[in-house]
Amino acid sequence: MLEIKDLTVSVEDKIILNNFSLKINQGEVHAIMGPNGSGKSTLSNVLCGKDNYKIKKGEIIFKEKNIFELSIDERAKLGLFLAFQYPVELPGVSITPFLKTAINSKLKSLGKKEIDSLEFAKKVREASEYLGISKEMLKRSVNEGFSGGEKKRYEVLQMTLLNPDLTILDETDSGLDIDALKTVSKGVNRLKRKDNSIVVITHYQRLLDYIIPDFVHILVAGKIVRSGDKNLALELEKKGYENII
Amino acid sequence: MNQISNLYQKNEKFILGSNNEWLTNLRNKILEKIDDLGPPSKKNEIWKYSNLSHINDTRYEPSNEILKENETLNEENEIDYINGKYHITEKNKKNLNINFKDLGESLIDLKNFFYNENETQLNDFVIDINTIFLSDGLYISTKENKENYLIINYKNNLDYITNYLRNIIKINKNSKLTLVENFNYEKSENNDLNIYNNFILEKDSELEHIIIQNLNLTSRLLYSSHAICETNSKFNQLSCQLGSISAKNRHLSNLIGINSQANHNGIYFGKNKQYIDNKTKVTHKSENCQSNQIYKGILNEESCGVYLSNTLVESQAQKTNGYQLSRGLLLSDKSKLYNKPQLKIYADDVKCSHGSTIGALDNNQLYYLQSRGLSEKDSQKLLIKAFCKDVLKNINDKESLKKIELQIDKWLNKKNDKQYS
Ligand SMILES: Nc1ncnc2c1ncn2[C@@H]1O[C@H](COP(=O)(O)OP(=O)(O)OP(=O)(O)O)[C@@H](O)[C@H]1O
Ligand SMILES: [Mg+2]
Repeated sequence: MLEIKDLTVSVEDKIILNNFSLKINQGEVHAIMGPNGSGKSTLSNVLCGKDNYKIKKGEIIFKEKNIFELSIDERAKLGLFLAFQYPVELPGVSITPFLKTAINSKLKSLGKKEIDSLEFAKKVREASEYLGISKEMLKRSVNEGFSGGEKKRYEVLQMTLLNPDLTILDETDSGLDIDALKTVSKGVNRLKRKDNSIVVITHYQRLLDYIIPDFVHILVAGKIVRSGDKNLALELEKKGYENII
Repeated sequence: MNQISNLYQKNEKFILGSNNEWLTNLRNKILEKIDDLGPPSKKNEIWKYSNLSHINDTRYEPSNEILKENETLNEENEIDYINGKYHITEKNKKNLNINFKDLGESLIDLKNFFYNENETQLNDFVIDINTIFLSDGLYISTKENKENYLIINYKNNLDYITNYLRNIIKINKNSKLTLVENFNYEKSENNDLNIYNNFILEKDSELEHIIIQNLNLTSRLLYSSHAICETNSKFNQLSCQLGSISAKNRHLSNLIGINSQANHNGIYFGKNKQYIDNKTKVTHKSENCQSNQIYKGILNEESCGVYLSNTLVESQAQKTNGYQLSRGLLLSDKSKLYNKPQLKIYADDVKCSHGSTIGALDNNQLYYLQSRGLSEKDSQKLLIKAFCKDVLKNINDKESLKKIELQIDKWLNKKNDKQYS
């Protein structure tokens, strides 16, 4: 699904990702944990194609394609999805038409015809009910005035409708209350298939009780310093970063 | 003698109302004044941001077409100006709720509108020129207690002609009018239009005025409007500017009756070397009145925008509520926008505020949209439309909104127009 090889990335001459490598196969769930500023969001943004990073070295292969040759939207249409840590507000961009445009641009790139309006409405209704998103919220502008938790739910709603092959959840748990954490995790788990993959970025082991990872990686200063199974997260919770590396 | 006097003397006999002594005297007085003052120059604050190569290039080339054809297929609530002449059809005449009169034939009753002593008229070069060269116009009035819809289309099919038009539109007591003006010169090139509209909103009346200006890039526009709002009346205006190589728009309103309201909304789009110059001013002359002046500009390529807004609150106008907002979106490094909000308050119990911003599209917003699979171009378009939204939401007429959205889409998808030469 995804292979990152010896990736070194800098911003304003500061190295953020340092010889970073990671391989993710179809059907796997990977968790990445790491202290603030270790480069987790940078990794997500480099994958998606945000342009203020300098790629100094390395390569990324996504679904057999060299990702650096693809534009941001081409990567998305190929099946990459990032649930943002800080989703940006888009005043004046109404949620529903935006969702429809996003779905249709993906369908179009796959050579399929546009989604039927009724089918679309049904999908949106079903998914938002599942995630506890009210009808009123769907009438608003994208993320505008949303609470922290509402923004995260809305990210997962988009994930649900776009049905990506590789999803990165960048601290989707932060901002969610205890009940919402459960619903949103369930929402993510039901999208899990044998042929798609998920990267969960989080600071808290708790989320990994709900979305159970096959692998846990610890990222420090732009490099994976340890990898293990879900027990590594428990160990980290007890010992903290200083004592685990 | 200046060029304007020359033009006037050469063409006097074609000009509307030239057999009225008082009007001829007025015109001579204005010509003298223009002679005294000299042409508009940047030294004068009011012309500082204007496109003077346009303002100071007065042309007079009326169309030779004399006959007023009655061949238009318009419904009773739609009229045309073609080549600077209005066309009222039999159907229009049957409209019982809107009365159309020839401006030339109504001059005696309308003397006041030409003589308006207050600051606006005798001091404005663009309106002075309109008064001097006036070629056609209508006196339109609505019937009391009725709700009406009127469309005026401005079209030309001759090149290199100039139109000097004036409409005086009276919204009678307790009546409501939606007035849509479409400016669209598709079949002609290099036309100049100077138009001046006067609105009188009587007690309890309402006017929604929508201007959709989509002239070609070889044509130039000078548009002025002046509204007088009596007690409990509401004036809601939207100026949507898409075309013309150089457009100067000036919209003024006077709130003379208590509880009256004036809203000047605008969106303007620039590309190429378009120059779009907008000014709005609301004078609060009475208590408990409200005004909003909200303009947004989207400027691409080498276009230049200007927006000057002004709220004047006279001492008797207590409990005034006034708001001004100007926002600009610059889509290229070479586009420019000059913004200047003004506020003069002589009353003490007043709520007034203004805001202005100029900036480019937000990269994080673009990134978010693209990360959802929208192309860069589509993401830009979506954000530009979102930018216009809170101006357009102030308009009630759904038909016009649809038209405007269509025109905006066209603007977003089109490039390379022929320019003024
Ligand atoms: N555009 C930028 N300009 C300057 N520094 C940047 C920029 N983007 C990221 N950085 C720096 O890169 C480092 C890594 O940031 P990143 O957001 O990837 O961390 P993170 O691991 O996601 O942290 P957190 O857990 O707090 O979300 C930080 O030191 C940050 O300040
Ligand atoms: Mg982060």
